[in-house]
Amino acid sequence: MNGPLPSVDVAEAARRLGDGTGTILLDVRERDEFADVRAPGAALVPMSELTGRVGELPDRPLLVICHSGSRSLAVTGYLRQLGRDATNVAGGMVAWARAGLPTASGTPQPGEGDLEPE
Amino acid sequence: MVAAPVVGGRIVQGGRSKAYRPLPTRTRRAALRAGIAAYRRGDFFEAHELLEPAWMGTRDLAEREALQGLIKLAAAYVHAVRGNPRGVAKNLEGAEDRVRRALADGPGAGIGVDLAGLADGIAERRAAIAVASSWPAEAAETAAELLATAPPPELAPVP
Repeated sequence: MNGPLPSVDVAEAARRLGDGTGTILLDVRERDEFADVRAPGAALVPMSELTGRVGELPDRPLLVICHSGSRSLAVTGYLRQLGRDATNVAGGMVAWARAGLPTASGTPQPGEGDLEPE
Repeated sequence: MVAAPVVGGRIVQGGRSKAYRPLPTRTRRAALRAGIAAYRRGDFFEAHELLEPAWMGTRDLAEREALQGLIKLAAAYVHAVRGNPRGVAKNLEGAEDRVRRALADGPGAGIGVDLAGLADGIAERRAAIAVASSWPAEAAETAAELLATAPPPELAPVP
């Protein structure tokens, strides 16, 4: 490991998602957690599926989010080891919801959580 | 509160006999505050030592479960600092188990800590450790190191 992992808070994460750099919010929680509550537009790749699906990740900046920041930390470390532009979102969806950032809940619509929508 | 029976100066909890050295509520609260402060500054061994008398000092079963949860949590991070992943996993499991049992008695089980949030935080950490341990060796090692040195689950006040 070379130095601390890049990490941003949820406000900075939300800002980067709208800054035109094509940044992806990568949610690494499991599917039932994603159905409970999620950030609109987030891509879902559960941590348990990640090693088998890493080739699917587009070559774009990745903001990694989970429930409270542990899984995203491990995944960010893994992706950076593979040379990917990954940043941890500190505090996870707990902090996201607490900050009043937009959320969606209920069964995801077709296409929701896909890596490359539309 | 549900008070545990005392037999021969020892507590009977879950069918087992446990140490009981009664302490006044005020003394227990002071130990709890000091233990939480030690945990927050990353002094996990100290936290463990400070919390133990508070745990042994009460007959309230829910309070005992909650305090033992914190003690096991602190122990997990003593192991994390020492680079013992098995000790981390085992103590995190014990901690989550105790905290969830204490929760059955109310959100703070008398100790004023947000136990629901804490149980969530511990579960999250355990999930991350479990999945990362199945990764390729180098990635698993990096993840274990990151998780061991990341800020531990938060001991927040009851909302």
